[in-house]
Amino acid sequence: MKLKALMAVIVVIGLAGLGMAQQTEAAATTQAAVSAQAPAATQELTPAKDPLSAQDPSPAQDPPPEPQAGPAPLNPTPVELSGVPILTGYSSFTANFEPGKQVLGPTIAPIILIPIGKRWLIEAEGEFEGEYEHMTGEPWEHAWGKGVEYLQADLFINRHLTLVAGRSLTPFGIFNERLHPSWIKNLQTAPLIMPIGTGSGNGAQLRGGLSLSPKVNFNYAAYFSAASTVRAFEAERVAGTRMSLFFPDQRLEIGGSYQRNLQDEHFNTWGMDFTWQAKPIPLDIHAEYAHSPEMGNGYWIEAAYRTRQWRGKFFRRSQAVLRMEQYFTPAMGMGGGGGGHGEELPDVNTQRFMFGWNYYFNDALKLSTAYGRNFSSDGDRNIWSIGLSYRWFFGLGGKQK
Amino acid sequence: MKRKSVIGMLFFALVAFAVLAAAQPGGGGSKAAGKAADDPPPATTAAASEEPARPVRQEVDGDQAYKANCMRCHTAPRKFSAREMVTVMRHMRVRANLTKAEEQAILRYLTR
Repeated sequence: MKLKALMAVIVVIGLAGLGMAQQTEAAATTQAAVSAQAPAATQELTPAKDPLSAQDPSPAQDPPPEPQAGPAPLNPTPVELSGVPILTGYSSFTANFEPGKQVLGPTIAPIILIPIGKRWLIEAEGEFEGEYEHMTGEPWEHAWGKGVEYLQADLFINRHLTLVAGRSLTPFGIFNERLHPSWIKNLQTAPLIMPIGTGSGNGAQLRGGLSLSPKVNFNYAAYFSAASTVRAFEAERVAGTRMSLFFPDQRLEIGGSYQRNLQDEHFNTWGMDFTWQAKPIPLDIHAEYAHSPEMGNGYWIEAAYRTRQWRGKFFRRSQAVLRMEQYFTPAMGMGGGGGGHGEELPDVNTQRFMFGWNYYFNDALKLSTAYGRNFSSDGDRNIWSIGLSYRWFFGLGGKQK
Repeated sequence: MKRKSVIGMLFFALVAFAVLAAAQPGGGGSKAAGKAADDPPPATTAAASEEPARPVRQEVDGDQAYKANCMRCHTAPRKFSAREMVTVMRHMRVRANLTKAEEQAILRYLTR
């Protein structure tokens, strides 16, 4: 019954997207015609300028310079150009230290993006993650995990609707889909509740965004995943949706996620997420809550403050991070210790505070350090971590202008 | 039953937010985005202005869209070529649920 309701939501979203397309295509055609005839008036393009030039003392998170007046170039506008294949990704090395235990984690995650025509994109990300663990008095043990984070084809059906097919990251909450890469996340240690909800699924998604007014956008994603036990493509049979409202002026997003587990035991998981980027000061707030009757519930809230307004190069490139989180085991069900993502939920109720300091050498290279304190009934303990992450990028389309 | 009601309330709250936000008149705290909505369509050349008046899609401010959508998750990217940025923005359109208008506005902004 619930699955039928979910499928109905997916169909309604699809029809709504198609309906919006009919309304907007005519206007878009008009806009394209006007733009083609008067690019100078509508584009206001200026000569290229590197937003992250060497003269910029605080490269990371600084916006590109303000547009300058200048003659419009005769080259085609970027929206008329075809994309080129790209090989990108990130590499990281983290070291975590707890009493009696040390863990080293090298990771490499290549990403390939292949645009086809104006409506298609093939994209894939693999992840190769090592874990070298040492317990006091025991020899080092190590293992390498290989997995496909996503391998998907995206079809842009219209301005507001995209069909995604293949293996995809599950759009449950914000951390899994948007924040998990090491060069993006502010603390290298994943939130306690991350295993609630699945990491990747094999199936299809309908997703997109539309502007309800100049003040608010509506974002949505609805998905279905089939079960798979194939190594590197493991997935559970689930269906779910995430919807959010985004207020661009306030840079505030509030989202809600729902997922129905359809494998073995059927149960619901739901969550909420919150993102706010303060305008007056370089402060980012992220928060998530997730609840599952089988896997427990919990939340995390994280504040990241860029100290680029402070004096000195060190502070201009630094970021202070504070996270608080709690996890509560379920009253019944599979209990703690389960979960996806290759990570495990705690066995007992746990709360954790973490403080981190990041230093951005440039937009792609980041040093992360953190200290945290874990409180639980099986013993309180300190957590230390240090890591280096690097995002790399290669254009595969030959020499570009 | 209790869980159903929570999910129902969540959905209702989202819809209510959307309706309230959409019903609000322009102005106030809205700056670039509000301005884009309130202002008349951009001026065009004489040839274009001879076209009969037809509705023109609202322009999205690239600077506003870039700062609001991109920078809440990650640091500013380096300068890539225009054709590389086309691919990157197509990827981000899926990942961040951008509309096509936002995708194109940010693309223009980052390839100036």
